[in-house]
This record gives sequence, structure tokens and C-alpha cells, in this order.
Amino acid sequence: MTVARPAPPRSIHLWRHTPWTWMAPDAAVVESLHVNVHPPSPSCLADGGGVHLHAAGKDRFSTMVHAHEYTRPDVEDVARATLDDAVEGGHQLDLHGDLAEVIHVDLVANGEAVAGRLHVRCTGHATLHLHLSGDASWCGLHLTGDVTDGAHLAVAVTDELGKHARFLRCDDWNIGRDARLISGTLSTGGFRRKSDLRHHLNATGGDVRIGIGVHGRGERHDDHHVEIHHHLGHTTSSLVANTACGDASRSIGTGRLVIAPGADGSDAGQVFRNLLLSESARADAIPELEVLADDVAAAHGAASAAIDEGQVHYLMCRGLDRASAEDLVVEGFLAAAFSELNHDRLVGVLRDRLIVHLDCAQEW
Amino acid sequence: MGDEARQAVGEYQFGFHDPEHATIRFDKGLSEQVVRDISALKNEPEWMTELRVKAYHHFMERPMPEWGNAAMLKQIDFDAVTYFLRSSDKTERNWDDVPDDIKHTFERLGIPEAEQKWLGGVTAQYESEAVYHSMREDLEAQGVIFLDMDSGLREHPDLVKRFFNTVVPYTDNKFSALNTAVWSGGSFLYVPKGVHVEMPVQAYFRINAKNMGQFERTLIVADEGASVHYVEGCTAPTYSEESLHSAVVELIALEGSRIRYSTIQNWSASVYNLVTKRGIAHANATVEWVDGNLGSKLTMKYPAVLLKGEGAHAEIISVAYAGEGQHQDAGSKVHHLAPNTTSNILSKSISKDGGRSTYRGMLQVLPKAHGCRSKVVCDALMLDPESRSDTYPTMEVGNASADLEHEASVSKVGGDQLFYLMSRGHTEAEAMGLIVNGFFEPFTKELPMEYATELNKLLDLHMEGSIG
Repeated sequence: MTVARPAPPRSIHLWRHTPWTWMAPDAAVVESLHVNVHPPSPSCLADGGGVHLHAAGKDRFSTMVHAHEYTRPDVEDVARATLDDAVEGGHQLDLHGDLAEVIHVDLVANGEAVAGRLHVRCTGHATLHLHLSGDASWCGLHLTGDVTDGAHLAVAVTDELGKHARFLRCDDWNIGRDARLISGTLSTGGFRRKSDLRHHLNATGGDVRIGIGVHGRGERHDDHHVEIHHHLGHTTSSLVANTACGDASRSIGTGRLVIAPGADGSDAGQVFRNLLLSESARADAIPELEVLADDVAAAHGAASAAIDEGQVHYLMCRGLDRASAEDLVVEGFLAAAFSELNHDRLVGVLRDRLIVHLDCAQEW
Repeated sequence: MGDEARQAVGEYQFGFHDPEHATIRFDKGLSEQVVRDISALKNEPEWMTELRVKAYHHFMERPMPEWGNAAMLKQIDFDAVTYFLRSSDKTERNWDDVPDDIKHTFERLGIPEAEQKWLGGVTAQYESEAVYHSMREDLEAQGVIFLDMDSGLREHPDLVKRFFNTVVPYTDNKFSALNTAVWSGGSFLYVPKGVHVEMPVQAYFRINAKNMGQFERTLIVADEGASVHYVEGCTAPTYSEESLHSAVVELIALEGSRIRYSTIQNWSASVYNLVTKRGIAHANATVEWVDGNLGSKLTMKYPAVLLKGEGAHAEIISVAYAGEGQHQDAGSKVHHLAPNTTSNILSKSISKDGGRSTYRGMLQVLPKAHGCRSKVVCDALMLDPESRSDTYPTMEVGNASADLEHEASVSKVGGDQLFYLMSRGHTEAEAMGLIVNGFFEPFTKELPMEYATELNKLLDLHMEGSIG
């Protein structure tokens, strides 16, 4: 059961552009919140060599997840607190060893309002694809993870939620010594979406690379808030968020890059690029830096522009109609956010989903 | 710092204070009666009195901002502030008639010398009101009006009423409400159609008394096709108790005109500097802010431009230096309200000795503003590990044809740069000073020569002891 919480005022930066009242689940209909976590395909498991998945204690989670002794991140945030109230327990995915194949996990959100929590613990090298689908009108997902010392984890998050769905996503990732998290998100579904993604580089040598591609259509509202905290020195991070907004859609990209006192040798960068495809679309970018150490390299950039008519003309000259030409430009623009992740398997997954999404765009 | 700079600027160059000789001094604290008394003392028209009272009530009702450095803001004790202090019975037009102690202050600040050399006009404000005002005769003959704000309201009430409170309404924020309630002094500058004021006009604001509030109000109007460069400087003595400076500046650039507003604020480290500065640029007009923030305990100042007419342009160059115990929360805002408007923003900041510099910016393009172009560049330099630099830019783009860029970086002084200069015979301190001066060079080159020289010397002073 959810507990009614006072809505944070819009003067609080996090909720300025997407008020909590838009995202809060309706307590009257949230009687039972759940997310079905489907196991990876058997072939994937077989090739995974060393994937260690526990029985869940529930039939439908028989191969890969189990109830997790969940520790809530020490964050005072209404979204996390609400998800914490809504979900009892949660599920953990342990990734050990060197996994050659991509592990696909389907998260199915069916029902009036559903929520779930997934904790990923990676101690080896793995590539994970989380795909969210379903007909829920409200969906909440709390994704937490530990990438332990020396581990490398690449995570792709994609979705095909219905066009009337509201989606609230909170991430809390901890990256250990010499560990690397590569995170790619393709945001295409839902009507209103708020993502609050936080990453903590807790030890020297930690590296996080984040790529986000957002496609806005109709009156879709997409708000991505990304935090990267460099708690110790000689850590690196990069964030690239490319947003293409069409119709009357709106996107907000907020980056908060914090370099703690003494975190010398940190190297951090974030870039927000917005491509506006229609007169009514709107895109906001707020890349923030808070630097409390001096021997660092920290930079951010933001750019916004209309679709390049020269590129569209070039493609139309080669036989494409205007819509296809624009789609191709959008595809290239969004894929560019992922190509900078320098991870072929992850980029392949995200690009495949992007192509499927654009091919289905006519049905929107 | 070299001996030459030391001789030029002393310790905190403007940290001296003179004995206080007030002809009228209000009791500390703010009430509706204080607001009415200020208005009555100035014999203001009724509309201004009523505006002040409305603003006072808005100030009292409006909560303190929760953003920015909210902790420092909460330390302000509004009941401990003197809201009006008159040091001279009238505004003099002849330098010799200014009371000796006040004259002494401004002579140490170099005002009469600057006036003779390169100014088109000058106003010197001491505490709450202007004490000296001068204007070149040829400019007066062309119809240029340059007065202190009190005289402006008295002599040109219709003109003031037409523009006052239109760019920064008292409802804009808590401190614009406070200023509107208790404003006193400031400049009123009106440049008629087609007149180009070739030499800058200057105002100098000085807080001398401790626990003093200075609330000057400046209104500059450039009529169609006119141009003017207004320069402002501010200082205060160093006291252990805080003073409050809360100004409002309104610029109105009518069609095809150009206003440049240059300021170097070098308040002492006991001053809260909470200022609202905003300009409106009509069609094909240009508004430029050249804004330097060196002193104060806390500065919250975000010069803004509303690009209201097609083809309007905004240019904002700002620098901030945050030393020990200082927080420079500065930035800029440009709102593209009309088609084919353009803007450039360049912000540079240095943090040293645990100081904190913050860039807070807003770039907004409304849906009907087609073909807008803007570029924002923020550079921050950190001189030691105890300091802090923040960047909070916001871009809100509501029109697909807008072409906007923002880039920012935070870095320290490069070892290779220091090595290069030291291998040519400079000490490390000199090399650091040269690098810092070079870092601010895009700003200083936009200032009149005397101001640029002064700024470089001040930076040398601030940089002293930065090495070893």
C-alpha cells in the first residue's frame, strides 16, 4: 500500500518541470503493485557460462530472481519513498563471471498500476538488456545496482509502454574500484515519464558512461534527471543525451555532476543535444556542475537546433519520402548518443530497438 | 602582487571609512511608516507613495528564496538595517560645494579625476542619496537627461512614471519588492531619439555607514536610434557587521537603440549584494551587460535581457571572483520573445581560498520566436582544493528553428602554462597573476581603459598569497 505523501513544491529543482502530482500513483487504484520479471531465454543461459540465477520462491520467477534483502538508498526523495512503500521486497539479479551473450530480461507491466524493484549485482563482465512493456497506465520501477571492484556491466533499458502510460523510474548505482558501468536508455514509450538516475563513483578508477536517446511524439512528456557523483579521485564519467522532439512533445534533460572535495583527477563531461522536429515541440536542457576539487577536468555542453534541411534534402534526392528521410536523420541522431558508449553489443541492442520503434512509428 | 599594485590599491583599497555625518538618519527596521516617511521626505507624487506601500506589503508577505545560498540569505536581519540615511542636504553640481568628508571619500575613489578625463557625466551617491552630479553641457543641449533618480522623478515625473517598474515589477522577487518600497538615489538616464552619447556616463555608489542598506534605483531609456554607455562602480568599507545592497536596474532600449551597462562591484566582504538587473530590447535594439563581481559576502545577481522586438540582440559578459568566505552567485538570463533575435553570453569565474562561485543562467526561446541564435560559454578556474565552482544553466527551447549552444568547463591553472611563464623569468606568483589576468581578458577589454587597469590591479591584490 502506498502512503500519501505531500507533493514537493515546484521550487524544488527536481520537480520543477515535471510536478510530482503528475507522476504520483493514484492511491485508490494501487492495491497491489507488481512487475513480472521474465527469465532470460534458455539459450542465453546456456551460453552464459557462469550465470548464477537463483529460484525466486515464486513460480514465475523460477530461474533467475529471488527476494532480495533490500537496503533503501539513503536519499530523501518522494519518488523513491513512494516506490519503497509500494513494493515489498524486490528481486535480485546476480551476474558472475565473464558472460559473452547479452542477457535479455523482460519486465512486463500489466494492470492499472504496477511497480517493481530490481537489484543487479555484477561481479564479472556482463551485458544486460532490460525491456519494459505492458499495458499499465502507471508503472514505477526502482533499479538499483552494485558494480563491484573490477567488474564491468553494460545495461540497456528500453521500453514499449502504451501511449497513455505514466512511467516513474529511479536508478541508484554504485560503482566500485576500477569498475565500469555503461548505461544506455532508449526512451520511446509512455505519455509522461520521469526518470531520476543516480550514479555513485565510490572508489578510484571507477568509470560510468551513460547514453540516453529520447524520442518524443504526440504530447509525450519525458523528463530525465541524471546525477553522477564523483566521491573519490581518478574516476571518470561521461553523459550524452540526445533528444528528438516531434509534434507537441516536450523533453527535459537535467544533469547534475558533482565532484566531491578531494576527488582530484576526476574527469567528467556531459552533453545534451536537442533536435526539434516541429513548431510545437519543446526541449529543455539543464546540465549542472558542482565542482569542489581543483585538479579536475569537468565540462558540459548543450545544443539545440532544428532538423538539418540539408540532410533531409540529401536523403530525399536518393528516393526517400520526407517522413522516411526525417526518420533516418532521427535514427542517426539518437544512435549517436549510444555510439559514444563504445560498447558494440550494447549499441547493437539499442539500435535494433530504435529501428523497431521508428518502423512502428506510423502506428502511434 | 607587485609594489606598484600595492601602492595603487592598498589593502582592500576601498576598505576605509569616514566619520559619519548624517543630516537625517532613520531608525533601524522597516515598517509601512518608514516607507511613507521616505516618500514624504522626498516629496514624491502620490502614485509613487502608493507603489512603495504596495511593494512593502509584497516584500513582507513574500517568503525568502529557497534556492541559491538560502543559508546565507537567512542570516540577513532586516530589522538591523538602516533604510535611509541622508549625508548631504542637496545634490551639488559643483565639486567644491560637496561636504568635505564626502568629497574626501570620492577623491580617494578617483571620481573627479575620472570625470575630467573621460566621462560624459557623473553621479556620486553616498549612502542613500546622490551628493554630486555633473553633466557635460553639449549632451544637455542635445536633450540627454542624466540625473539622480530622485531628481529625475521630481523634474520628469511623466517620463519616469511611463517606464518605472515596467521592466522589473515589484512583484518580480522579494528583493525587487524591498527596493521598490525603500528605493533612494540611483540614476535616471534618458537619451533622445538618434543621439549617440560618445563618452561613457558614470555613477559611483558608496556605502559608508555600517549596517546600512543601499537601495538605489536606476532607469535608463535609450529612445529610437540612440546609444549610450553607462558605467557603474560600487564600494563599501569593511565592517564586521553586514550591510545590504539591493538595487534594481531597468534598461529600456527602444527600436534601433543600444545600451551598454558596465559595472564593477567591489563591495567589501561584509556586504550582501542582492541585485535585480533587467533590460528590454525592442526591435533591432541591443542591450549589453558588462558585469564584474569582485567583492561582497554574498552576491546574487543575474543580469537579464528580454528580447522583445524582432532583430534585437543581447550581449552579456560577466566575471566573478570568489575569495575566502565569499559566494558569488551570478549569471545571466536571456529571453528570446521575438523572431530573429540573437544573444551571446560569456561568463568567467575564479574561486580561491575556499570561495564559491556559481553561474546560474537561463536561456529561453518562446514558441513564436523563430530563427533565434544564442551562444553561452562558461569557464571556471579553481585556484585551490578548498574552493568550489557550480554551473546551473537552463535552456528552454520552444521553437524548432532556434539554434542554441552552451558549453562550460571547470579547470585549474595548467602546470605547463606556469612552467612556460616561469621559464621566462617570472616568479610563480607573477605567472599566476598573468594567467588570471589573461583569463579575464575577454571581460577587461570591454571596459574603459581606466576601469580595465583598475580591475587588473585589484586582481593582482586578490591574487596575493595565492602561491605557497
